[in-house]
Amino acid sequence: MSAILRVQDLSQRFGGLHALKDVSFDIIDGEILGIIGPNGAGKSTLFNAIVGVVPPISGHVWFKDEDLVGVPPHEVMAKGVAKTSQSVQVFDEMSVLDNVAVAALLKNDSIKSAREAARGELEFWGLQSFADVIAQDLTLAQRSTLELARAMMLHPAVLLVDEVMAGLNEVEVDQMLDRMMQANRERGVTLIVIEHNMRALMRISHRILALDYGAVIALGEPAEVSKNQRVVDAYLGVE
Amino acid sequence: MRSLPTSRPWRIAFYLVALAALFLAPVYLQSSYSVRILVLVCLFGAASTGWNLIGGYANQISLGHTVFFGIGAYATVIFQGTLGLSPWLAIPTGIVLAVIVALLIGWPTFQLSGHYFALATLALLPVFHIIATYWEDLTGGSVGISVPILPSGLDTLQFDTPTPFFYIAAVLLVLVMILARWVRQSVLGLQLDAIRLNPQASTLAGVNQFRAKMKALVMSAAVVAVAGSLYGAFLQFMDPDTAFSWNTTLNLVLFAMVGGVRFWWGPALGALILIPFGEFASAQLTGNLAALGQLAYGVLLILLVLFQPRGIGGLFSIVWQKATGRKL
Repeated sequence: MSAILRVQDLSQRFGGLHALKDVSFDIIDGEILGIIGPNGAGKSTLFNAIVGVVPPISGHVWFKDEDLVGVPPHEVMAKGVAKTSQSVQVFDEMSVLDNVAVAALLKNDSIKSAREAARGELEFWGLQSFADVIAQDLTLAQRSTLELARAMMLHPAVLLVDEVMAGLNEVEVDQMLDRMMQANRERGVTLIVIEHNMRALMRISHRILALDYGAVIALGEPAEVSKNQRVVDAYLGVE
Repeated sequence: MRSLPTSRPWRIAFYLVALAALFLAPVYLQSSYSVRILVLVCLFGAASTGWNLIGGYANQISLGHTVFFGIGAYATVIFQGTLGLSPWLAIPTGIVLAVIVALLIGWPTFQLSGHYFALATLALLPVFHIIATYWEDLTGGSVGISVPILPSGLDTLQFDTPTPFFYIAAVLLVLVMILARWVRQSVLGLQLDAIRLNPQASTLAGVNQFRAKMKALVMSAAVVAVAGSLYGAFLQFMDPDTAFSWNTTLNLVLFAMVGGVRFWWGPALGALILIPFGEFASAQLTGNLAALGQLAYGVLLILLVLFQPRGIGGLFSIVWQKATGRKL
């Protein structure tokens, strides 16, 4: 039960907006941590601060005894903390295979071996028959899955998944959940998942962290957090 | 599908025919005027192909590549005209100087995201124009430097007819196109493609954008400098307006865009179409009609950018896909 990622007093400010206020929590190696919170609570901001896409103004992100704050994002990816984006970000005019091969270049020094590795990754996510399709011709669910495949191609120890299920139907959500849980179980990747789909999040999360106004308001087992009065208030807007 | 001309033997056959058409051009063109135009096609085609390595492949638009071209060109005329040294020594000198300038411009701007690189390169050209104009001891100032007539031969790069020079320029073009094709299909090429299509996503895919862009820029600057060196040898003259002209900047970008920036052969195709077109228009249309030629050129470019921003290469790839069912 050791922490693989330790977020310590992370703060972010955009002008007058205090987007993250001394956020601290540990992620245990191998767990799936769900993150909930109303719109604007700072969930994506937290992810961007962890991987350095938008570096925090203060605080630390400890990963294997190293502070990731100040490390350029592509190096964070290489060290083993990957992320998918809130709005699907794939290489639209590239084949599905090459979309994933780009990430495979991190651990392969030839195009050929990168594409081979990418094929294996596509198979894991059920996209192998779309390898030669141009990414923009995929459905939304496939594009979201492709972004997950690309991130997993980096062989991360921790993967931050930002609302990958937005806009998907129930069947697609369940397929994606199954694959994510399979990645967690079989490949040992620790997952931190931002999701508005509560049913989905309750199903996969070992623990849930609730954010509101840039601060942690609850952290614990899913059943526990969903009954927490502050969480209920944050969602229903009581006060 | 397999028997369609997408297979390797067909492609090799096509390359051989294209190579033959290029190298036999002086035979079937005959007029030395046409061969001179072809020299320009090869030199500017090579330079535009070089520009495309960073400008097209990675969509890092440079408006200052003329500086690398001008550095190469001045290197030649200074070596040959002022110092009495071989133009072949000027080529590596031009490469080194161009690469230094490229590193100085890329180092600060590629660490930032946004349009800083394009803006910085925009400022390069006037700076070098001023240096070339006022550093008279080195460049001969606004009068420029002329290379004296030397015994003709490969060592002096002076010849009685334009044909031998054409072969040198053609070899350069072919080598540069081989380089461009190799880069396109290399690890770097895939990374540059990722950067072009989606910078944020390429960071999430672990691409070191700074390093990829720097590599491409250095190669790009070196190629353009070599083309410039040969241009200096070809003209046997250089002054600030010729070396550091906005026209060259515009042309390097245009040839690539018209031909298609996604393709390693795009810029060369653009040069092959636009240079003879321009020469023909300015030869045929005189007086007030000359303006008409320029206007037609402009309208053509606007139409292309509006309706086929991927250039003729893009148009070709659509036709190709319809015919063969495969992406180019």
